[in-house]
Amino acid sequence: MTSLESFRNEWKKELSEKKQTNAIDLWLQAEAYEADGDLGKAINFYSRAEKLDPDVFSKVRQFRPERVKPVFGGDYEKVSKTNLEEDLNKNLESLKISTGGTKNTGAFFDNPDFLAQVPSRPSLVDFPTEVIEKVMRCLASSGHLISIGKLSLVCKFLYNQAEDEKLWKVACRNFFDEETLTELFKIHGNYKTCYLNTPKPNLSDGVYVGKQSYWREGEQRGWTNIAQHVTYRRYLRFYPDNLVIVVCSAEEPKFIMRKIFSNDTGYKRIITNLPSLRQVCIQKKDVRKLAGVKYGRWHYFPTEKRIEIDVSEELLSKVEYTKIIFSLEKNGRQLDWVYYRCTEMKSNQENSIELPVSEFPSLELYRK
Amino acid sequence: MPGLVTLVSQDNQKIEVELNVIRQSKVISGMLQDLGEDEDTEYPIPNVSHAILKKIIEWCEEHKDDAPIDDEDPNYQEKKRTQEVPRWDAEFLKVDQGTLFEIILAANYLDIGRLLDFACMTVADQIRGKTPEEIRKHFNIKNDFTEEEMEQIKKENEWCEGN
Repeated sequence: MTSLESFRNEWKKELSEKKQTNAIDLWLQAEAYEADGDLGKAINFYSRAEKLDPDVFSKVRQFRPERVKPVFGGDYEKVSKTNLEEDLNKNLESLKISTGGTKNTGAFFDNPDFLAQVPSRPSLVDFPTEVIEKVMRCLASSGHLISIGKLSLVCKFLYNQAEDEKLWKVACRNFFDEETLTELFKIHGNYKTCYLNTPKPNLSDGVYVGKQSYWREGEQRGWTNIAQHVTYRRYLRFYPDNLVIVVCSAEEPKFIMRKIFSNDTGYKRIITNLPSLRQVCIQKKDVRKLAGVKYGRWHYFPTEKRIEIDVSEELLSKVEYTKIIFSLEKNGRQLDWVYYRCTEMKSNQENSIELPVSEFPSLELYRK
Repeated sequence: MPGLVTLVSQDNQKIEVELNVIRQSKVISGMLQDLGEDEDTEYPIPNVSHAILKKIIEWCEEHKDDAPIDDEDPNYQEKKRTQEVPRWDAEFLKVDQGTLFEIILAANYLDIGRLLDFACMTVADQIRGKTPEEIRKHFNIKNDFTEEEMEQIKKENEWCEGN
C-alpha cells in the first residue's frame, strides 16, 4: 500500500515537472517567433505555455541562464541555428503545426512566414504589431472609433491592441485641444475613459438633422388669405478636421442624405492649413450641386458641452457670416440650439441679426 | 549601366532597378551605404518574392519625384491624419487580399513609409463599417474568446453599439 502511494507521488511529481519543461519550451519558441515578427504564432505559443503552466513566465526567468538567451534584439541568426532549431523541430513535429513536409520545419525561420505558411488566406493577426497599430491609428484619427470597438471583439490579440492608450489619445485629439485634454486626463486618469465619458459630436458616420417650418404670408384673393407652410430640414455633418457641412433643404431627406454620404470616398480634405473654404467647395462637387450647402468650421468645448460653428460665405457683392452655437445633449445624439447670429457685410456696412432660437427644434443624429 | 543596382528576390530572381527609384526604401538605401554602390554587387532581399518586389518597384517608380518625408515632422503627422489615399495609389492597391498583405509586409520590411501608410489606410477602409464577425471573415481571423469572455467584452464595448 505504502509503496503504491509513494510510486504514485513520484509519478505525479515527474508528470508536473515534464509539464513545466514543456511549457518553458513553448514559451521560448514563442519568444523566438516574437523576435521574428510573427506575432500571431508567438501569441499562440505564449497562450499554450500559459495554459500548461500559469507560472511559466517566472520559471522561464529562472531557467534562462542555462538555456537559450532571450532573443529580443539579439543575434537571432545564431540562436535559430543552434538549439532553437532543435527545439523547433522536436516541438513542431509533436504539435503537428507543420505545413506540408514535416522534415523542413526549420525552413520556417529561413523563409518569411507569409509565404511559407498557408499561402491562400492571409490573416490580419499575422502582421507585425506596428502595422496593426498603424491601421488602428488610421481608424482612430478619422473618428472611426466604433470600428476600433468592433475590432476588439474580433479576437484577443486585437482586443489588447485596441486598449492602447496612444490610440485613444489620437482619438481625443480630434475633439479636444491640448489644454482641455490635459484637464480631462486629470479627471479620468486614462485617455480611453476621457474619450468614452465625454460627450462628443459624431465625426464618422452620422448626420444631425432638424426639421423646421414657418408660415409665409401669401397673396390675398378676395376673402381668403393664402399662407404657405414651408417645411425644410437642416443637416449638419461634422468631420475630424474641424470641417462642417451645413445643408438647408426642403428636398426629400433620403435624397439629401444620399448626397451627403456619397462624397465620402472622394472626399479630399485639403484644408489642413485653412486656405479659403472655397477650395473645399471645388473638391466636394457632389455636395456642391445641392442648393443651400455651406461649409464651416466647428470647435468643441467639452466642459460646457458646446459646439460653435462658424460659417462664412463669399457671395458676389457681400460676405455672409453665420455663427451658431449648439449644446450637445443625449451623449452626442442631439444638438440643441443656443445661439444663432447672421451677419451680412456689404461694402463696409454690417448688418447683423440674432435669431430667436428658443423655439427652434433640436437636431437629432442619424447614422448611415 | 551607372545608377543601376541589382536586387535578388527571395526566389533568387534578379531585378535591375534605378538607384534613385529604390532609395525610397530606407532599408535598401541603408544597405547601399553599408555595402557601397558597386555595380557588380547584388543586393539580396530575402523576405520579398519576385512578384511583390516588382510591385514595390512599380510603386517606387511612380513616386520617385516625391519630396522625401520626415516621419518625425509634426506637420507631416498632421497631414497624414487627415489625408486620403491618392487616386493612383488607391488603384495600385486594388489587389487581392493576399497581394495587399504581402505588399504591406514588404513595405514594412523595406521601410517604405508612405506605401505602408497608404496600404494601412486601405486596410482601415476595409474594416470600416464591418461587424466583428464580418471582420473575422474578411481578414481570416479566428475567434479565440470563450463565451464568458465574449459576454464580458460585449458589456465593456456597449458604447460602440449606441451613439
